[in-house]
Amino acid sequence: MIKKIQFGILFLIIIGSFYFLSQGLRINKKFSPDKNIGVELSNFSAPSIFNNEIMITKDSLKNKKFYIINIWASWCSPCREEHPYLMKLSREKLLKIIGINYKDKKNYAIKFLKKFGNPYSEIGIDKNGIVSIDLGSHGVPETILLSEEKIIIAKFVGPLSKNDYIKIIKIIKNNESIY
Amino acid sequence: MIFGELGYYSLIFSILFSILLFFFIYQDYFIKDNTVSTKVYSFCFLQFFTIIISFFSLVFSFLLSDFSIVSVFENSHSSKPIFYKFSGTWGNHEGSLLLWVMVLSSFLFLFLLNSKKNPKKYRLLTIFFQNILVVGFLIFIIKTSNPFEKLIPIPKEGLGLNPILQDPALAIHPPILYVGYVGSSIIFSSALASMIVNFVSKIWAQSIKIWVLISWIFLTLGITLGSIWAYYELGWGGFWFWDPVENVSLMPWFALTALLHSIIILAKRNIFQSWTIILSIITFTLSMNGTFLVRSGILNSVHTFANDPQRGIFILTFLIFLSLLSLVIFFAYQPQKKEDFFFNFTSKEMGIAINNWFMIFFLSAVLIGTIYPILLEVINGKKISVGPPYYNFILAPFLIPFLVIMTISTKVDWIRSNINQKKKELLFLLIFSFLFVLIINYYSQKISIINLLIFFSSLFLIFGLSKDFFDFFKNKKKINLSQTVSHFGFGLLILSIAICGIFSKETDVNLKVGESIKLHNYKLIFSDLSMKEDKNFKKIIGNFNLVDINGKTFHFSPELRIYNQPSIVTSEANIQTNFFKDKYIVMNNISGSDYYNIRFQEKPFMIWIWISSFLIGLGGFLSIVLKRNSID
Repeated sequence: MIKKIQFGILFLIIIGSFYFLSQGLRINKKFSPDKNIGVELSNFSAPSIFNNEIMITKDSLKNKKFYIINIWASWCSPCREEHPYLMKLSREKLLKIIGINYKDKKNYAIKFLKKFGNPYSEIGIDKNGIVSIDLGSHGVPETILLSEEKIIIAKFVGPLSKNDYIKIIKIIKNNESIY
Repeated sequence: MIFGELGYYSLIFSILFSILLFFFIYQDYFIKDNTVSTKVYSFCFLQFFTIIISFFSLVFSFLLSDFSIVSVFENSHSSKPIFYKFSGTWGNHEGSLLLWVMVLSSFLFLFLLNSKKNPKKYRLLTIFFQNILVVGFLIFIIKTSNPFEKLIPIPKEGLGLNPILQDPALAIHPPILYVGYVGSSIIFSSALASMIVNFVSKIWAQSIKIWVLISWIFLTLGITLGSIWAYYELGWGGFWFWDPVENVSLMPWFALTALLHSIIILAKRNIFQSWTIILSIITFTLSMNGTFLVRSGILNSVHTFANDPQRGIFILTFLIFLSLLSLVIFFAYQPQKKEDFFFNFTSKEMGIAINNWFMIFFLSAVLIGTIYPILLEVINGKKISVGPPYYNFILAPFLIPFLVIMTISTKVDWIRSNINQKKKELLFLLIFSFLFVLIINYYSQKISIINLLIFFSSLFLIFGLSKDFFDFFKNKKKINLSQTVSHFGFGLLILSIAICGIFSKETDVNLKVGESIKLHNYKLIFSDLSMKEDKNFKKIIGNFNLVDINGKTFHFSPELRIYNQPSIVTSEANIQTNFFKDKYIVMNNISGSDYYNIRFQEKPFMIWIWISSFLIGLGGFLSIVLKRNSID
């Protein structure tokens, strides 16, 4: 009897893993940044750079019409290029910018912000690059524009250019979303 | 060219021969004599021979750059050095599967030749099960990944082998790893066969032990080579990333290590029968599982392999079929429990049982870490990645008792031993290691308790075995050399990993030519850049001088390589190694600026990680060479 139960359990485990693994195969692994426009941002959590006990999560995005998540690092020079645009964007009243500091040293990051200015209302630390995976990012820099409902409106891989900046400003000014 | 056709048709023939082999095995099984019929021999040989021909046809197609074959076109280039043309054969999905089948079939043939002392029915059944594996993989190759697929029109030039795969360690890594993986197939087949003919016994264990040892040695070497490749080539300064593809090679290693120990007990004392069978099945299932996870593209990993769901479904179905088959056989023919066996708490048997528990624990922890993200994604679509913190947190604390028990169990005898005789020795070792740890702690603060305990337990093992070596060389005392070498290697491995992990220093800076910066106790000067053309890539060499506190200068020249076919930029780290530490500089260009991102790392005891891994494998090798029972 015990033998039969053991057999049954093992049998079910094998069939179960077959089911799960074959389901796993069907999930599409390739996703391009354009594809997830119109999709709600998945949850993430990263400790704040200024206070280790505070976690920056999806819920930190509140009280504004638009949000930007910007993944950056002090060692990344394209981040310097796009920084002036972020500084300009940070003056928009309808917009809140959250930074994700990617694989960086805390003191270098803070030095960077002292030198070039801080456009971020909050910054989360992503020491191992795991948060950025959760956000579906490709690397640094990357910028995600979100609506009030935290739906991805646009994604910018690489540094923000002048055109990108104008596009973002237009979206905010028209208060419209393109998806 | 002719090789394409030759390879393809001999593959078709090998399937025919394999199917005929089933028939002859069936026929011979009911003939009551003690010799396997010559027909079985001939068809085993024919199967092996046709697969060899097919494999070498592919090798020649690569060597001759025959771009009418898709896999050659996609993975080779006429300007490639000959060595990498050769290794390009298995640097891709199709070729590596052909290699896999070749090893599978050669093990079948070798088993047939080397098992003459064993009962006929057992031999035939083992070949039967092994043949199922061969046929399964042959059909898989022909159906989903034909290495000889034609391309029309014939291109003039190939796409080239991924440059990060152009590395000597990686060129020999897959074949060696495969011998390890596939070696476990013959253990699997013979475990199933021996259950059916009721042959699970001392004699079975003694005859199969050599296969366990061989696959274990190759798996150990294969994993080490992979890790060496990652360290020198990937340019991240790490040697183990807990990446899913690495994990799937580590899991069979845990199972095989457990099997290696339990089979010694079975060979010695005829106990642990069912458990040894279970381990044999698990080991091969995990190897197959590894192939499935890597080849199907179900994992998100730094290792890029062909992603094709159809292939995944096939291997998965085959894997499930084998699991169910072994489950049914196990429950139908489970070895009957022998009368109660007895062993004392302080005996080798107990030590080995504990080893097995730990191995299964490590195995489960890694399995969960690898599979869990897939399950989670299926259930609620969330993507997570399980990284080093999980593994360090869950594995590190358990290493401590593991190492301590390992030390004690190498000092005790079979069945029952008088621990009192050894008490003095162990106490002395305990105090000695403890003092050593105190010294380490005194000179460098901020080491966590867990890490100190890992230092302590690995030193305990190292000192304990050093004493055995001393007895062996000085006092000519009889010891088990292979066991001592392997276990010593393991202690050294854990110690070096701990030292390397805790005392490593890493800095990331952006520099341009002419600038210098102070790093830890060094001054790093970026003196100039130079360009060089090589056979199939251009390189930018950064010249760095590192001046240490005593004014001694070290010259470093990390490279950026720009490959033309396919056009990929890779960074080659410059690593300077000595017995105490590795210094490691890697540079990356930052697009659109004069700055280069420079990563400098200092990794103490790095080389000892490789040395100790080879020692672990050497122990297994000695055990074969010295031709004695592993534990006397």
